[in-house]
Formats: sequence, structure tokens, C-alpha cells
Amino acid sequence: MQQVSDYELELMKAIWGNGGTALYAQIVEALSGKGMDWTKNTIITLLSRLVDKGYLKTGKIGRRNQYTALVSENEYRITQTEHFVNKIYEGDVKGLVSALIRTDCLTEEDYEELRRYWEKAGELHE
Amino acid sequence: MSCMNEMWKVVLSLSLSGTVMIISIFLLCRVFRKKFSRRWQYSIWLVAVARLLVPFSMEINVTGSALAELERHAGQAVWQQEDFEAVPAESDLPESEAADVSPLMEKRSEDTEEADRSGDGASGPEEQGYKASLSAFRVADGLLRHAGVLWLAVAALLLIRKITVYQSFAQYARAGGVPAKPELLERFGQIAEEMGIRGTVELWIHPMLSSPLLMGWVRPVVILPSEQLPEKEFRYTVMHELSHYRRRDVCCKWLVQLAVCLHWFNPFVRLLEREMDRVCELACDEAVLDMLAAEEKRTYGDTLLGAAGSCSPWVHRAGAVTLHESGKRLKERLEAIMAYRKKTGWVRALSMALAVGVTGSAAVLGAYAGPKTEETYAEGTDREKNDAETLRFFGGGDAENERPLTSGVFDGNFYQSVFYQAPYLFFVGYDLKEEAAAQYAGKEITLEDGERLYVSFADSARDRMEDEAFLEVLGRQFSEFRSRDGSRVSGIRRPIISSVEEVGYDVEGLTAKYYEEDEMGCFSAMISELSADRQKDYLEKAFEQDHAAVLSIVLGCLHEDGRLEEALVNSYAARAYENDDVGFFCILFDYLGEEARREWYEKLKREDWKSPFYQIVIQEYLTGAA
Repeated sequence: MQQVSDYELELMKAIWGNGGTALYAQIVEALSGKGMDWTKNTIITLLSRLVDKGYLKTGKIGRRNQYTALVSENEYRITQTEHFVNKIYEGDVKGLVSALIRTDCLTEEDYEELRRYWEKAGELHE
Repeated sequence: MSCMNEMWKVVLSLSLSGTVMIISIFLLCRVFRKKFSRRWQYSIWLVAVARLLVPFSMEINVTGSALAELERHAGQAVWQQEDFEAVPAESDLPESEAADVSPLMEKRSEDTEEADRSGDGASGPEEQGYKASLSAFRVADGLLRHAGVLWLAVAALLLIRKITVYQSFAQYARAGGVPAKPELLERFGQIAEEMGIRGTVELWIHPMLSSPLLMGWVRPVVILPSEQLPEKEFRYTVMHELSHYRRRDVCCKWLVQLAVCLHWFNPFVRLLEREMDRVCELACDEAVLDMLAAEEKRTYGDTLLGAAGSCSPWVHRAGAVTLHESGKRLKERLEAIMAYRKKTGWVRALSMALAVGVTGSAAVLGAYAGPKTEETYAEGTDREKNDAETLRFFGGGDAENERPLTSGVFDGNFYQSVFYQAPYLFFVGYDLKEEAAAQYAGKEITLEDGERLYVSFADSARDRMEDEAFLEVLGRQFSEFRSRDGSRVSGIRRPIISSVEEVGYDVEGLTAKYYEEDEMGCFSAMISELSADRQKDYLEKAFEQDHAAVLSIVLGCLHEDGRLEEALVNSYAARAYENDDVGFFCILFDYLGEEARREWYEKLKREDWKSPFYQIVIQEYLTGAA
């Protein structure tokens, strides 16, 4: 899956926020709400780039364009995380977790919970 | 078969009337070039294209029936001849048959039958003559009937080839093109919004392209060679390309190409193509300039001028010179060229802008290695300041406290020249506005023809006002100007002396000194005092030392005195070409005559059409020696 720019991610969030599918007008509204008043040219161009990259598909409702996400927010998060771990921690998840603990991003309780989840997941796999 | 022939006849008739239109429009534009806006010219050329492509029913009737008449007469001659042959053997032909023209086919077969039957009846020398003209008619007849196939075949081939070439370029663009970052895209979108553009246009960056362009019809995209353009350059480039989009120039270009394919046999249609390409870019520039405020117009011109020289860095990239260095040198050259041209009045900003415009469309022909750097764009906004400053930098006076002469005090276009009249070297600006003249000290001097001229003196030159010797020199100089009929200096009315220095009489020494010190203004004043041989020595020196400004100055000087032989210029041009020096080649090419230019055009078209040299040649050659 190709990487997307920050702008494109905002567009995806707007669509995800609308239930995974949105009309152009709805997307513009969602963006304005966050203070992002981009030009029409930019928005439409970025949307078509997303279509090319396989994140969206277009449809028509009457005369208006409808954009449907082909990748869910969760899927995106997971792929990004994998990508990140592979790139920065070279696939070593432990390294990431220890970094999170060291920087106080992860509390003791969080870690315990994580460990239990991991073991359970491991058991399920076997 | 007959349908194709019908089409062929239609095309022929369209071609004929189209040619008439093309010739008349061409002459019209030539005569009224200054009066009519380029956009208007472009529009009427479009009418000619429409004439070539769209058959009106009126058309078919007039020319079409003329062709039909021709056919008929040709056929009739054939039949009448056979009739003539047949008559001796067949004496009681019904009269109606002899005069009848409509059921031609029938009659023809009847006649041939009878001719066959009568066979070898009569065969004298007259008969041979008739037979010869008969076959001539038959050939013409056949041509009219069967040329349709030939025409269609060639037209189809040409069209297919054009499409293929375009597609391969589009593929190249797509492969190397990178969608621009959203931040840049947003800036782009804002400009589009300001311009009121309705469709959606993509923006890509393609580092291997020689210049910005607009591509595509259904999903249009503007492709820039670099994403690091200074604000003004980005803005003006985008405005120019979006202007093309708004004016539907892509579509028009294709229509012209279609006309060229369908009318491949007509050389005037090539003329149309050439003229339209030329006017297209100019019209687009006009459209952009229309949207800019007066102050911005100058900067826009400067942007285009800056882009004109940008070919060079890539050429140097392969060599030892780094991009940064060559970028700076190029800027220097451009400034020198511009500054020099201003001083001698050869301001050809329009043809340079034209040059850049054609370069843009010529980008479709090929691409070059290496990215553009921002240094290559001339800093236009500084130019005004520089011009004002040069008026006070030289010579005595309290530079800090004097009033700077800015271009605002001048009337319309302002010029500044340096002159040498032994032993003085002085700077003259002209023409001053009447109100401004009142603010400066001045003196009336008498010229040789008795005319009196009021000369103003800037603060830094005020002490010279009382110098009798200098005033005499001034009188001589301006008298000399008056005698230069037709030259711009002959019309000086309100000059201002901005600085004077007593430099002495050693012309050779002074010239060398200014050369070493890179004082181009002073150098240009001195060089005209030298002999032709010495001037040519400096030409060689400038060429060897890669000094573009000096090259321009000396060439200009030699040219004005009528001492510039074309062979000399051509030899330098050839050397510049060999050294891969685009900048020099550009300067030199300007001085070549029609013949020589055409030779270069032919040569480069054959051997080196992808190079920046060819682009320069196209621009200059097609705009004609102006």
C-alpha cells in the first residue's frame, strides 16, 4: 500500500468519519470544520490521487460524486504501524515497546495488559 | 471508392479556399502586426483552421461542381474523340445522341463498341495527336478519380504517427513525473481559483523536463521542472500554463495538427501551423499580462527572460562547472545582456518572450538531463533598483546625500548611456520629465546647428556645469547625436548628466582597464574609439575568457559601424556550438543573416534537434531577422 501525504490522510479521515463513504460536499464540510479551507482544485486532485493509489473508489449519486473508502481506518493503522516498526525498529517490536515504556508512553498497567493480550493471542494461534 | 473520391474532392476544395484564407490572413497580420492584439490574430487563424476542417454545403456546390465540370469536360473530350473516330463508320447517328451529355456511361460503351468495330479505319498523324491529348485527359481524369485513396492513406498514416509520438511523450512524462506535494498543489489551486479556472488541473514535477508545460485534455496536468521556484516565478509560470488551459490551446493545437494531416499536400497549411505556434504563446502571454498590475508586467517579462537562459546549466552539468556556479554566471550574463541592450536601445524583450514561449511548446520535442536551479531565474525586482543606483555610483560626489535618480523621474522609457569624448567619460540619462528637469540644476548649451539644448546635471555632476571645456565636449557630443538620423540618440530632448570623470586620452589603456575591472558601461563607451582590428582582438579575448557581456558589447559596436562580417560571426557561432556554449551561441546567432540562420536551422534540425541550440534557432529563425 502506497504512502499518503498528511493532506490525503485528512481527506481519508473525513471519509472515515462519515461512515466510510462521503459526497464531495460532505468532505469539504468536514475539512472546514477543522479549519482546513483548501481550494477545490486541491481537494479534487488529491481525491483522484487517492483513487489511483487504491484507497478510494468513486461512484455517482445522480450528478454528484461519491467517494468510498476501500481501506478501513483500522487497516490503515495496522499497515502504518507495521511499516513503522519495520522501518525504524527493523521489525523488532520489543524495541518499540521498550521505547514506549522508557518515554513513559506506556504505564505498568498498560504493559501488563499488553502482555496478557499477547499471550492469549499466542495461545489462540497454537 | 466513390465515397472516398467525394471526400477527396471536398478536401481539395477546402484546401483551395483555406489557402486563400491563409495567405490573406498572413499578409494582414504582417501589415498590421503592431495594431492587432495577438489574441485577435490567434482567433482569426483559428477561423482559417475551421475553414480547412469544416465543409459547408455551399462550398461543395461551388467548388465541388467546378470539379465535377472539369471531370465532365475531360470525360466529354474522351467520348467526343471516340465519337469522331466512330462517325465515318456510322453515318446515321441520331442527333440527340451526339449532343447528349447525361447518360455518359451508356454512350461511352456504345461508342467504344463502335470504335472497336470500325477499328483500324483511319490512322494518320492527326489521329496520333488526338490520341496523345486523349491519354493526357484520361490521366487527369484518373487522377481526380483515384487520388482519393492515396490522399486518405497518407493522411491516415500521418495522423497515426502523430498520435504515437504524442503517446510516447506522455508516457515519458508519466514515468518521470511526480505528483507535487499538497502544499505546492494548494498554492497552485489558489492561483487557479483567482483566475477563475473551472476544471480541475493536476500538478506534477518532472526534473528532466526543459520547461514547464501543460499536457492532456481529459485529465489536464501542468508539469513543472522543479518544485523549488521562487514565489514570483512560480506564480507567473502557473498563470501562463493555466492560461493555456483556459484558452483551450491544447485542443486548438490538435485541430491544427489534424488540418496538417488532412491537407498534407498543401504547403500553406505548414505556414499556418508555424504561425499559429508562434502566435499561441504570445497570445497566452498577453492574456496573463492582462491580469497583472502595471508594476508586475516588468517582473513577468523578467521571469520569462530568466527562464530563457535556463538551458545552459544542464549543458554545463556534464562538464566541470557545478550547477551553482553556472547558475550565477548565467544570471550575470543575462544581466549584462539586458543592461547592454537597454543602453544601446536594442530592447527586444518581446521577441525574447516569444522565444521562451516557443521553447515551452518545443518541450514536447524532447527533454534534457538535469534539474533547474533557482539561481537561473533573474531577480527582476532588483533590476529597477540597480538601474537607479548605477546612475549615481560612478565618479565624485557624496553618494549618500545626493538624491538618487530613479526611473520615476524619466519620461516613459528611460535610457542611460556612457559616452567618451576625450578626456571625459560621462553618464547621460534621457529623457527627463519636464517637472523633474526643474528640480535639477541645468544649463543651456548651443549645438553645432545653432539649436539650443537644455542639459540637466545631477548632484554628483553639478560641479561640471561650470567647466567650459566639458560643456564644449557636451555640445559636440549632442551635435553628433543629432546627425545620427533615425538612431534613438538623435531624438534626445531632455538629458541629464549623472556623472563625469576626466579620464584622459589613453584610449587603449582605458579600454583595457575597464575590461579588467569589469566596468561594462565604461568599456562600451571606450571600445567604439578603437580600430576595427583592436575591437576584433577584444572579441576574441571575450570569447576565450567566456565574457558574455563584452562579447555582446563588441559585436554591437562592430555591427553599428558596419564592420561586422558574417563569416566572422559564423565562425564564432560554430566555435560556440562546438564548445556547447548555449549563451554565446544565442548572442551570436542574433547577428547572422537570413541565409546563415537557415543553414543553422537545417543543420540542427537534422543532427541535433533535441538540443537547446535547436530551440534557440527555431525561436530566432522563425521570428525572422527583426
